[in-house]
Amino acid sequence: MTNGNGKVRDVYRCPHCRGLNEAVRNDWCLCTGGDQTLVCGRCHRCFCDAPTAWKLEFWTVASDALSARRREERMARDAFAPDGRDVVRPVILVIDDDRLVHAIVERVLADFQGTVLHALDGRTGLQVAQRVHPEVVVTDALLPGLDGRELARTLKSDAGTAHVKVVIMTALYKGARYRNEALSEFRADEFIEKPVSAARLRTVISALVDWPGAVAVA
Amino acid sequence: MSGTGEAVLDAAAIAALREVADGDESFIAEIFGLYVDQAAGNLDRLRAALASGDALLFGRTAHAMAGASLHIGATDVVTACRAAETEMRRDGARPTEARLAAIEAAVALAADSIDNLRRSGTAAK
Repeated sequence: MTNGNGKVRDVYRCPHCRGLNEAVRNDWCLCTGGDQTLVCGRCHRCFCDAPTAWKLEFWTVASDALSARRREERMARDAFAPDGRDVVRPVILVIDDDRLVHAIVERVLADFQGTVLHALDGRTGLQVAQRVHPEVVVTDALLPGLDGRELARTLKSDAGTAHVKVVIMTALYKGARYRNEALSEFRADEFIEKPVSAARLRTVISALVDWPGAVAVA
Repeated sequence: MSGTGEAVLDAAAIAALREVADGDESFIAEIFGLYVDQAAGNLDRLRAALASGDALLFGRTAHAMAGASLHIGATDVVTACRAAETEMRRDGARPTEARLAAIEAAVALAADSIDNLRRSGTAAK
């Protein structure tokens, strides 16, 4: 990350795909409960799960411009919905480690008149949910960090978040048995099998939250 | 295969994607791009898991790949990943070269099909 003279530069290699990136222009990652790092412009993975030594070095040699951006991002994060009052409601939180799912759900919710938040792992999703109290959480069942079904049970077991509607998506636990288990044992409100169908998602979400026109479009 | 990749990518899944895209071809291209990028990262993780003998990581990564592959209809990738995922849940299971090779081959075919779809301009029809 340095040019050999110890001088800082803003071009670096992604720790995952080794692609070259220009740091200042890259997107910030969405892991609001994590380290908050950058997203690789090539593989779209963030650096939160990069080796700690890599992250330490990265921020040690980062340019002033990038460090300033980091400060701004952190301030924005801290200022963002510390108790959920600053977001436009209703809020839908999408939790999945598959970026395709985020892109698809975001697309399906394009005309949703509220806020859509994203988390890429279960622990981050839980932290966001506990802070923001979204009206609906749409979560994958099998997630890194914290299983989506356990996340549902945790939210439903806490008086402060018990009202949050939880939709579990799954590519693995399909069929009536798993659906019943998700709804009864893990107290989820709905159950969607992957691949995510636009019509099914719109129907489920519009039944849980105010979304004028959702079903008509579907 | 017809040369458009339809034989490898499940038509129903592509139709579902087109339903989401609602006529926006750039969205389909974005999804395919995300898929290929994610697959490359996941293959790296599978190789690392094989090298370290980490069955949990191998199984979880295979699961993630299967889920993503469902959305673009890469059924051969789904099948190969599901087999690996199931195997990795068994006591004492270890990642194998054969499992990795099967997934790599299926991903390569899916990537070829995506390229064919892009070239033929049928990705979002």
